[in-house]
This record gives sequence, structure tokens and C-alpha cells, in this order.
Amino acid sequence: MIIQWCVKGLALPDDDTAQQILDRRAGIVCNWWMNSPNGAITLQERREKLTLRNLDFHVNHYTGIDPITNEPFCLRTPFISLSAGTIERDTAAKANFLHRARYTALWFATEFGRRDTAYLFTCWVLLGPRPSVEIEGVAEEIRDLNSYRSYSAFQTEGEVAAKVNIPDNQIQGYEVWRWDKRGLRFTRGPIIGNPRFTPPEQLTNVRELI
Amino acid sequence: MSERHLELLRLESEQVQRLVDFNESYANFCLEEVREIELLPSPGASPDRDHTLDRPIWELSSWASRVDAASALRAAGQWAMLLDVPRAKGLLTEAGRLFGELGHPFGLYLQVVSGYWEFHAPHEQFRIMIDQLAELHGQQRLFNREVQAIPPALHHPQQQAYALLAGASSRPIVREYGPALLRLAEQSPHRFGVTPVGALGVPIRRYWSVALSLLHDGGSRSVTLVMEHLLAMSRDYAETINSAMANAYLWNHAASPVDVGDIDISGITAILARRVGRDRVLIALDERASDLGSIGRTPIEIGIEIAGAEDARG
Repeated sequence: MIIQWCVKGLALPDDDTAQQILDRRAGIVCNWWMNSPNGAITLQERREKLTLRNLDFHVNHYTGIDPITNEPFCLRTPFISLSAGTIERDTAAKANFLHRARYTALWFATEFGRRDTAYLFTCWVLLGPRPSVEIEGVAEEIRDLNSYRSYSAFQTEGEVAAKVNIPDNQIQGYEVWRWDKRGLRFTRGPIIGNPRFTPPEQLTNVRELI
Repeated sequence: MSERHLELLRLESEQVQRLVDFNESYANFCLEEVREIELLPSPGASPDRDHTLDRPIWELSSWASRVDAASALRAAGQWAMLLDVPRAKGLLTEAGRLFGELGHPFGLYLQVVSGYWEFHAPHEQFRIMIDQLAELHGQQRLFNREVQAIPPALHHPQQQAYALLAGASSRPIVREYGPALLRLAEQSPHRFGVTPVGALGVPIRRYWSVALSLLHDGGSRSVTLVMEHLLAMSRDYAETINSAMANAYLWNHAASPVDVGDIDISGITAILARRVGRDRVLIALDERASDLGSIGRTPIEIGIEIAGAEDARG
């Protein structure tokens, strides 16, 4: 297993809404769960939703109409997109391009440049070493599913899909970014920490001597 | 012309404008971050270790913010090529300067493409880089201290391709170092190489061949050969852009991880158009591009526009 730090960019109405994500202690939930009547989904449905077909829909046809529900797929997706950039000198030399996870998360969280405030949540997830879409506990690295995967041999924008829910204690906290569009400047607020955060080092497989 | 390109690409000018502004703002943030990191006491300089970062983290943070800024400026410049060519050239020049500071010859290529360096290049910087390339190709032996000074990035074939292309595209550099560049172009194994370069993963031999054509002469033979490479790259461009468009959500928000403004195709076209004239490039395009759709023509036409902006500026 790989422990992967990720950033989730969210376009939210105000700072209070961002704080509520921490305060309600439910973590970050997928759109399917958020949009379900009474906020209820069943264990059986969870298994049925986690399919390669749905992951492909999530990655390549996010707003397309799902013939099964006759609704835009994004309303019922069980996946949560996360950014996981990499910082490697060799990749940068080959690609002449390198963006950290925060760059992609920021573009999404400003609603593609429409908003001037963005909320970036930092969290960690477990990544499986192989594709395993049906296993809810591990997130998927989905670059191979992109329909334009052959575009670049040096794709650096790591995209990770978590499943159903990112638990509250895997969220380290969030930052508020303000964009002065006229002055072409971003300012970043301090990290607002989650007091219930569990550092991933707890999962380390190094056993100390006593 | 840009309006038509945006229409063909099914992109709204407001969205592209937002993306250019976003990238420039993000780059400004990264550069402020670099200044903040560099204001921190250098590791070892202060006895108070609580307020310093360990060197690898300190260096990595500064490097990461620099390359992040350069990447964002590059992205801003590439998107601006669709909207506002003078602004694009300014952004690409700044991206080129930063990449150059990072030891990436890609930065030199950007500065040549953006125009100024085609006629006023820093000779010493190019001389050192050409010597280093010759050393890496076994054509010359440098002193040990000079070998140690070779930027790590220059060991990558991709950077070597941009280094050669930048040199071959700059008239004063060709005048002074033409024979050394030609030796590299004619003898390097990259002239047959298939290492992928650029956003389209184009085999390195195409870049090498373009550089060789530019070095041999600036006449009609160059136009024909270079145009053949540009058309091959543009067909790949059209195919991949069409695939990216399939994801309407990402595409409409200009969030597809693809290079819509292709700096390789447009850049090489601009270099060629400055060398032989825009009209000759346009004629060559019309003669040979009957099977190339409108999307495939877009980066070539943008390149001609970039060269045109240079002419207009005088």
C-alpha cells in the first residue's frame, strides 16, 4: 500500500461552510451520498456503485448523462477526485512542466477561475499498488483511465479518486486562498487544523526496538 | 484570427482569459514564495536551528516553487497565444528566463520563440551550453570543473533537443557557433532517436531534423522539410485535442491536462516564418495540408501569428 498525501479543492459559499466540513466530523463525502434522499446510502449500493464502468464515467464523462439514472453522472458519482502532484527534478526536466497538487486543486476550487476564494483541504488516502476499483478502502490512481492518456508521455498532474468518503481523521486541515484578480495575486491564509487528525505515520511498518 | 481558433476549439474567450490570469497570479504567488524561502536564514548560517529548515527541504522548496512558477508562466503564455499574442510573448519570455535559471535549455528555446533572442542572444550562455552538449556527445573534452558545472537537466535528451533547436534558431548564434551546432546535429544519435519530447511525445529525431534543416540553409528546402515535421505533429495534436474534447466538463472549463496552445508546433512555425517569411510558410501549409483539419492547422496558424506580431513590432 502507498500512503498518498492529496489536496481537495472545494468551491464553497463562505468560510463558515468550510469550517462546517471539519466541525460536522463526517469527512468529505461523495456527491452520490450528499445527494441521496435523507443522506442515506446502503452497504449493498456501495458495492454496486464501485465499478470500472462508473470510474470511467467519473474520469471521462463527468457531466454526461448516465443512461442508468438519466441524470448527469456527477450527481451520483461515488468517487471523490483528489489532486496528488509530484515534485521530481527528472520529471520536470523531461516535461518542462511541473505542477504541484495545489495548482490543480486551486483551479478547481476557484470554479475554473470564476470565484476569488478557494478552499484547499489536505488529506491522506491509501492507494492500492494495482487497480482495485471494487475495494472501497483504497483510492485509485486514475491517470491510465484518461481518454487522452496518450497525449503526454510526462503527465504530471496526478489524479486520485477516493471512494464514497474520506474519513474525518484523515483530513489534516484546510487553507483559504484569496485571489486578487486585478492585481494578479493570490494570498494564502494559515492552515486551519483538524483536531481529530491522525497522522499517517501511525501506519508505518517500521517496528522500533525497545 | 484568434477568435476563429477559439471557436474551432469550442472555447470561450472569457474562460481562456480567466485561465491566463489564474496562471499568472499563481506564478506570482510562487515567486513570492521563493523570495520568502530565500529570506530564511540559510541552513548552517544561524545557530538557532529551530528557525531554519534542513538543507534538502530548503533547497527542494525553493526549487519546487521556482519550477512551479516557470510552469505556470509557461501555461499562461501558451493559453495567451490563443487570445493575446503580445501578452503571450511576454509570459513565455519570463517563463524562459526562469527555466534558464533552473538549467533547462527549454528556457532558451522559449526566449528564442518569443522573439527577442532570435536577433540578440546571450553569446556566452550559448557557448557554454554548446560546449556542454559537445562534451555529453563525446565530441569534446572539458575540464573536470566544467563537466561538474553541466546542469543535471542537460543530461536529458529532451533538454538537448531544445538546446540544439534554440541555438539553430538564433541567427547570431548560428553565425558564431554554426559549425559546432552542425557537428552536433549531424553526428548525434538523437537524429535517429525515438525518445518522446514535448506534450505530444514527438520522437526526438523530428526536433533534431528541424534543427538540422535550419542550420543547413534558410531556403526552400528548409520550408519543405520543416513543414513535413510540423504537419506530422499537427495530426497528432488534432487527434489528441479531439480526444480531450470528449470530456466536456474538463474541456469547457479549460481544465483538460493537455497543451491546447502547443509551444512546440507554434514555436517552430514562428521560427520558420521569421526565417523565410510568413507568406512562404502559409503557401507551404496550403500546398501540403489538404488532409489536415481546421484543428490541426490551428497551432501552425498561431505560430505564423506570433511571427507576424514580431514583424508588426518592427
